[in-house]
Amino acid sequence: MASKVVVTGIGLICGQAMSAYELFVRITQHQSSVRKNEKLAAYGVANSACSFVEESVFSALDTQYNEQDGLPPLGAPALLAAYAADHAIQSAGIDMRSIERKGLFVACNKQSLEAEHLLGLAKHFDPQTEKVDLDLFLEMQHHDKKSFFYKHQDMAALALAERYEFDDVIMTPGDACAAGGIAVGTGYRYIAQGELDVALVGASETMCNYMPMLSFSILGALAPQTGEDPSTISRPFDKGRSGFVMGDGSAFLVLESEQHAQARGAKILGYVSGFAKQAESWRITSSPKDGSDYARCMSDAIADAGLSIGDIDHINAHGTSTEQNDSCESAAIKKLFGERTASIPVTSNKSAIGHSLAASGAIEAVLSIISLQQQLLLPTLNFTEGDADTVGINIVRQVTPAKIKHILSNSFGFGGENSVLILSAAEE
Amino acid sequence: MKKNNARVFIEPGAVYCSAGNTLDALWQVLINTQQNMTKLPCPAYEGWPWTEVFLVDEPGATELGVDRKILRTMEKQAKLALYGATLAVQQVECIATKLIRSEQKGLYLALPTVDESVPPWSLLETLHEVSANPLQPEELSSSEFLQREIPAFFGLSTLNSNACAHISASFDLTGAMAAYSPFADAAFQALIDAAGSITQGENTVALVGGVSPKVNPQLLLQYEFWGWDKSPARIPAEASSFVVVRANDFYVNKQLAMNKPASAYVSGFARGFIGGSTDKSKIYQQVFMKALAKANIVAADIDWFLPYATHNEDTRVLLGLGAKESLPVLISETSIGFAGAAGPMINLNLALFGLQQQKYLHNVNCSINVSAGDITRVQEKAGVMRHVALSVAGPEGQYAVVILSLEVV
Repeated sequence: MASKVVVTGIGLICGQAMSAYELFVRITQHQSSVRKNEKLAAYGVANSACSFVEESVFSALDTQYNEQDGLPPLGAPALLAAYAADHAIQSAGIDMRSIERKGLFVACNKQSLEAEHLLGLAKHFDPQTEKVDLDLFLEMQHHDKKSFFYKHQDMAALALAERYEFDDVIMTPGDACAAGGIAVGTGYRYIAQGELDVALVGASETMCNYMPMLSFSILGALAPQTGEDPSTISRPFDKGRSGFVMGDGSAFLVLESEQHAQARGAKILGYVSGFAKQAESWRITSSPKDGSDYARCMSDAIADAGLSIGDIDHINAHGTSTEQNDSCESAAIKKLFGERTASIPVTSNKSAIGHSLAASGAIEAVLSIISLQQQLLLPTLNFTEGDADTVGINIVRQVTPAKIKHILSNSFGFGGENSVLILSAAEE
Repeated sequence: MKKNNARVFIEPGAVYCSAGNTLDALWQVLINTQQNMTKLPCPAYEGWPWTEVFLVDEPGATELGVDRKILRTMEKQAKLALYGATLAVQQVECIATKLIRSEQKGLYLALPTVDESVPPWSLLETLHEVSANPLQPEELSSSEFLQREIPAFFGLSTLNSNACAHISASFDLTGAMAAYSPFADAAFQALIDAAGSITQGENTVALVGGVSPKVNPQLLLQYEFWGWDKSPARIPAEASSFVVVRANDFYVNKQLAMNKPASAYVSGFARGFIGGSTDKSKIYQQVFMKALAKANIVAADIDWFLPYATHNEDTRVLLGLGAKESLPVLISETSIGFAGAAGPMINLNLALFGLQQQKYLHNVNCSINVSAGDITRVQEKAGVMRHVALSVAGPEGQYAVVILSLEVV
């Protein structure tokens, strides 16, 4: 039986912000979370500015979750996920363990060896035999045996399953930058179809470390950094954009069927009302320049919500600050919205918090829900002027009160995997 | 979206494993209880039990039908995925057909974390030479050195979405898709969601695949951690396998006209999670009961059972629920190795092959001790085989059951 899907809880953690509302306020004040990562700079990572979660925060979370709970040790993405999920569940005021028909959808991409682990491994490599003394490596007292497992994408999902006694659908989408949107949308789909009453949906990603930063830098996807103020590097849709800035983060939403939420008297923060996910069949490094695939995904999500183009009040763009993405996304918006393009306000949260791959879709869904609650459009930081491709897109530059009922939130992934969510305001 | 009928048909697609790349070859290897193993391709820790494992050749540009330059963007697992998909598309016409728009063709892929080739041994070698001394070897901060050592496309080639991208680009699949990670249970997760995408009208057909991890030192460490290095049913294997799911109304008439055997459909499924303090048998029982209820059958209706990575513990539960005492059970891991998410997909192909041909394979005395040495398999002609159950367990408590049923025309 089809059911409306409501959002009753949100939780978030990212660089410089320990809650969703804290981040929202920071962006309204034009505060960027991007800053130089001294540790990465010392390792010679040229693009070391990123929106990273401080080691002191990880350390505190480690104490909170790894030393007190008696549960299996959590790696960095799982620590952020546990924190953000706890906040989402607390804000929903729901006893998750007591819910019978519930599912868990946690997006995460892979983790790579950190510099310390790489060095640890190298110490036990014998160049003569080309063998790693794995025995010794495993026995090293300072080495966490589970560090190899931290790279697995579903460690966060499994930790949350254990913590909140999920026993049915436990899913780990791994669709690059589209994965967070896919986690939210898939949970929405299960509830809308009547298969679940409640879903904990979200994502976690900790890419501000050695190997991912190097590899995306070598790929040319990160913005080159030449000593400018780190907070100005991410500039989606601006003519001066030159690549994205990496981010750490995690965000979760508690979704429920409307009946379930109403029956327990929960406060409804907003709705997930539409979703589409699609593959492009194009190239692994770029999308069709005419924006046709992005536009198709956006159009299908609007149709899934039972809405028309004219119903969309605001676009939370994927807006990575790469030349290619922002051009394609602009083309897609123009193709789909035609004459309405100039009047649809568009914002990119990545201007303030960088791109946290899988987590970005979930973070942007959470920020969109707060925008709907507060009827405020968030600014896109560092945007001054568009180029030939992005000109004509109505980029929000200042925090702006507006009547917003439906937000379209884009997440477009490397390899041509796309997802789009439609988020709607709670009914008064 | 136009919703399709509830019944989602499933066609055997392809297997690519050490036992062969056709279902006939695989079937024969299972009957013969052969183990086509080759030398372990990577360093192992002292005490690692198996000097030989189940490997497959890394497909090249010709097999994959791609330009050689594209290979630079693909790790071995992405190549296995694309090759499995290629074999499946050659087998099942409804993916390649122009009668279905590409927007209605989907892709659901279960694959473990794509194992990077970083750190390459040369990088480790250099770091080893300097690691005894400083906390921060200069090589780690030398851009020139790192740019030489780290493959240009490393950032993309180790993302799971990249493996999907190569498949969708090769076969023009632009419908709904998803990539699931990383353990064996992801295979049935992919199947269940692919079936859901058909009933919801997102897709008319979908490729559903599973890929194994690459055999590398880090995989061996996982074996050590989980104690799998003590189980002969867990000898590492590299493999890839695909099936195709499709809406019921597309081929039915054509199929009837061609007088093909009736098709199998996904009649039931359920998932569970065995937490640290949970009674495993209770979860097995609950999941079976949910799947049976969805399929609208009882345990006694199950004609064949293919468990995967459960150490056959759930067979007893199924028997306890009323399955036939003579229920044939096939445990394939001992002949094809433990292939992660590819394993359940291979079993799915075996089940479909058996249903089509109305024959099954089963282990003799398998409930006593699943080990490489004491397995005998027997092929039998089924009287009437209609319902086949398959299960899969992940290493951290994941568990899923799928039931396939044969359509009565």
